[in-house]
Amino acid sequence: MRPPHIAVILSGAQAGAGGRSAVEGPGAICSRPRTSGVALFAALGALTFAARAEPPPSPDAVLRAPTAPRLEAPQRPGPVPPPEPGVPREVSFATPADQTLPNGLRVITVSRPGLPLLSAHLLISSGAEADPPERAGLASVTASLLTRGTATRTAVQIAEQIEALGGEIEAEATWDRTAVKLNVLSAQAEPALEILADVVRAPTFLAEEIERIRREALDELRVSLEEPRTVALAAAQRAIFGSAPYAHPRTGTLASLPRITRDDVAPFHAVHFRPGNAVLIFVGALTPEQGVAWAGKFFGDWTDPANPHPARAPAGSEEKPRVIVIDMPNAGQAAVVVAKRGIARSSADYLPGLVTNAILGNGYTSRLNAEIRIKRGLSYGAKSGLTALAEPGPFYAFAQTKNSAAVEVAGLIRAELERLARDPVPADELLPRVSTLTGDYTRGLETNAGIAAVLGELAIHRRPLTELATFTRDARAVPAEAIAAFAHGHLASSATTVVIAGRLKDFHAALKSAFPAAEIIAQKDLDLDTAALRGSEPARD
Amino acid sequence: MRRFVPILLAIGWAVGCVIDSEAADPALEIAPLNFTHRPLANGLQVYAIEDHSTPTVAILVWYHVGSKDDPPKRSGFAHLFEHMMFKGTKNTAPETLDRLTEDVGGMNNAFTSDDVTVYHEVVPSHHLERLLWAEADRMSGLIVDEKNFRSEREVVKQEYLQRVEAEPYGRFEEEVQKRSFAAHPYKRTTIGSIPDLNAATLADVRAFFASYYRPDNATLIVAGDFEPAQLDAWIEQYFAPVKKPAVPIHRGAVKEPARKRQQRITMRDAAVPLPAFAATFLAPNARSDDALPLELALEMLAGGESSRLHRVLVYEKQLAQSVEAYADLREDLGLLTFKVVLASGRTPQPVEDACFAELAALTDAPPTLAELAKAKNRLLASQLHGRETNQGKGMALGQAAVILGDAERVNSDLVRLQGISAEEVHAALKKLLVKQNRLVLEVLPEAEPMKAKPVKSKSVKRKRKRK
Repeated sequence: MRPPHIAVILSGAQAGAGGRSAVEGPGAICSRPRTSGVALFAALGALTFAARAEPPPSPDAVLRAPTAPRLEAPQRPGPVPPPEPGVPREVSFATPADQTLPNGLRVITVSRPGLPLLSAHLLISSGAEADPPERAGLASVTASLLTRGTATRTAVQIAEQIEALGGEIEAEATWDRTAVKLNVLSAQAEPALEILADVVRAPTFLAEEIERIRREALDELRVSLEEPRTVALAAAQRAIFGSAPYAHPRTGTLASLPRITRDDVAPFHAVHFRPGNAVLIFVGALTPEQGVAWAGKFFGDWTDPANPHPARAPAGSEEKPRVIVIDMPNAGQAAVVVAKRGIARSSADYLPGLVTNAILGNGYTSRLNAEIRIKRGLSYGAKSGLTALAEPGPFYAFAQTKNSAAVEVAGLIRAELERLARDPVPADELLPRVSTLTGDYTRGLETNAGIAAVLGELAIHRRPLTELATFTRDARAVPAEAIAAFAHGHLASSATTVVIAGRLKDFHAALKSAFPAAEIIAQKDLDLDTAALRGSEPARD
Repeated sequence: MRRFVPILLAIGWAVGCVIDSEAADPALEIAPLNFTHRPLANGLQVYAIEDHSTPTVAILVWYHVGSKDDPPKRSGFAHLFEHMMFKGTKNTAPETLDRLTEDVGGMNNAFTSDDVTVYHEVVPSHHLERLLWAEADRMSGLIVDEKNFRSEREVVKQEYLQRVEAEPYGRFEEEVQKRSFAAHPYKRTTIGSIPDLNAATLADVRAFFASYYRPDNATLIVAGDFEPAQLDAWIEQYFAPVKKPAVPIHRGAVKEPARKRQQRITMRDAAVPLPAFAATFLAPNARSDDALPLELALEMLAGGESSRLHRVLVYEKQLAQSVEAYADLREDLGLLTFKVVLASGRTPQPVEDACFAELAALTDAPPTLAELAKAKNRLLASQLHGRETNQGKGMALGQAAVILGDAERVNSDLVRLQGISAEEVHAALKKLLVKQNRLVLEVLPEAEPMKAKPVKSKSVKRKRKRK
């Protein structure tokens, strides 16, 4: 489901911010972009792995003690260094209970007494990658329709009932999965789980509701196609995947959404929503026994259909690198993306990939942010993300900058990729960046929903759940040599595609000299349904 | 020792009405935030919330200064200044806070709102002393050089472009903020304007620090894994020596006049894909007794898909692409904002009419008990989700201590919330949603006519931004 259309900012709904915040309410702005490279790619559905998890890094990272006063004349007593850190405390993780019901539904439970809250995530191991040709957005539309009517409840009743319980159900299709997420006061778990099971198992997909969702999706698309960031990322995704399963905009296109009918949605649901293709995750104020009992009560008589679950379409080979400019005359800033296919979640290079990305573009002091924001003041933030999926997923480096600096920023990003492949990473840079990565992971485990998300990622990709506890140790064990090797092998600058979405006239001259072969596409001609990114018909004015 | 405050959820009504359920008034026990409070002689207020469930700790320093305190012709300065707080002291190089946090698996950030500027970190708990040292250090003085100042100012200008110019509705939202206040500094957006940012100097940075960054204008909150005696000793060691200036803190005294007549403004912006409008109403401040009833009212109007505006405008009539509403209750006064983006093919007037008809329905008659219970449950659940982390607990406590002026309200408001009646909600809303208190700003997806540009400042500003 797309984000709710309405939001009241009564409380700190932002992840991690918490608190009731008239303070951090609509008006507050931060000194650093709030997302750590994660939300950025959410628009395209790339689930970034760096997204959550883990125990605080213990033995301390090497601290580059701030010594030399590079500022003004030294004050009389001279600079004082910070005190030394204390002794690290052990971090422990609750071991998830992991069972499978007779019907094939896997049930994972983590008990976290404390606050009277429960997160229950029902995951289907199929998502937007299963959209058929010409039906981009089908998985997303299907997910949105789950809460728009079942055999026993209308759309309005579903919303009324779940919200009355202090709960929320969100359904969203991303790559490799569809997630139906319930957050609720734990005292109301049973009635809420009954609704969760109903929307997953018995949606009716009324024509009237399909029409509504279509109109809503089209209007949202119209708005987001005016955002340079969304346009650049969507174009890059299409360019690097061509016509492979991860190529299309997950929420559909202006051409594909009108084609989707009930004859697409109902079979999609019937084929993919089955217990053998699902995982149910509980985190919060419940016991593992309670989790299995509820799973049995609400999902125990759910059965797989007779036909086997279809195999996924092959990803095909990597596309040729391109330089693409989408000319958006109204854009107040340019979005710059440097992208390439990355690695699969099963790759032996997974952790070296994450660490390499951490050096390059995860966190405030990553190389991209240091070069583009801190040193040159060219952007509010530059970052990168490597999304490991069932098949090799996308790598992106991203920055938004003033239009006139777009080409310079693209050059800076490519130069950093080259440096990463060429020069060894110094130890005093490696450890802090790994700590940033593992710290993000650990903080992601502070909330019920965060733990459920990490477990979900592991379950969907059939990784051992023990990775939760070993992530930090293993990330820290990645040797420096593995980084240059990864950058050289997977992120070679010459193999990347560059996409700039912005006001071309402000950077046309620089573009001609830096990228004479750039493909220039007018915003009105952009066609996200084809690898060419340009419609075959002449543009209409 | 934790005490438990029994909070009765009015779920029985809600559930009984919509589901034939056995649930009957379950009493939910919610552990209150147990905090300690210790004022220092230099005026610094120190709060601590001890919790050893994870080996991490959150540190928050709230300075009671926000964009409403921007100097004249320096809109955006409080926020620009916030960025300078990362640019070095006599003891530290620029970006030292990052060395002390993200390099060891922690994080840091800061935000500026109209009323406060908050710096916050989360670190593995054995790093707590280092962060206390660093926060005391930058509370004692900055040393920022011209080069760093200029470079960071460029970053803030890019932030402005990203928030205002690169967002389809960025200029519109900026305009909503500017037009909603006649006199109060809230009419300036927190991000400010490019010309005002360009005009700022290092001398402004020094003066602003001297005026507002002082222990008697700050609140320190530590939440998480620490030993209280050790924490006290560190606070004594690092914060007690910070000098309190002799001069009093300057507080603005501009009063916003009540609105006298309804206003309607049309703007044009070729970058917006669909027409939109916003309606704003001046409202009481965050400390008002009406604050919680108003938050409940806004929840009923626009919180969740079953709320009145969403259900009617987006779902039933399909007039709107999105509806958002904020009860943005600030320290001096509040603003209720309703923002509606039209569905394609719609024209503004009928959508506005439908929107105002829904607002009128809630001022004509009190909500049902089921609707009230639903709003309470949603509000309570969102409060609890916010308290899952140490950082979230610190945010909730800071809001109560600094903005509401009473830290205990972090707990007592949750209790009070349960007792609010449908009549209170109705009465609080009815006072505000009157025509003379209404400003409507609509934006049409058209180029601004070339001639007769309206006299408005050349600089575009804006501020509200969610998520």
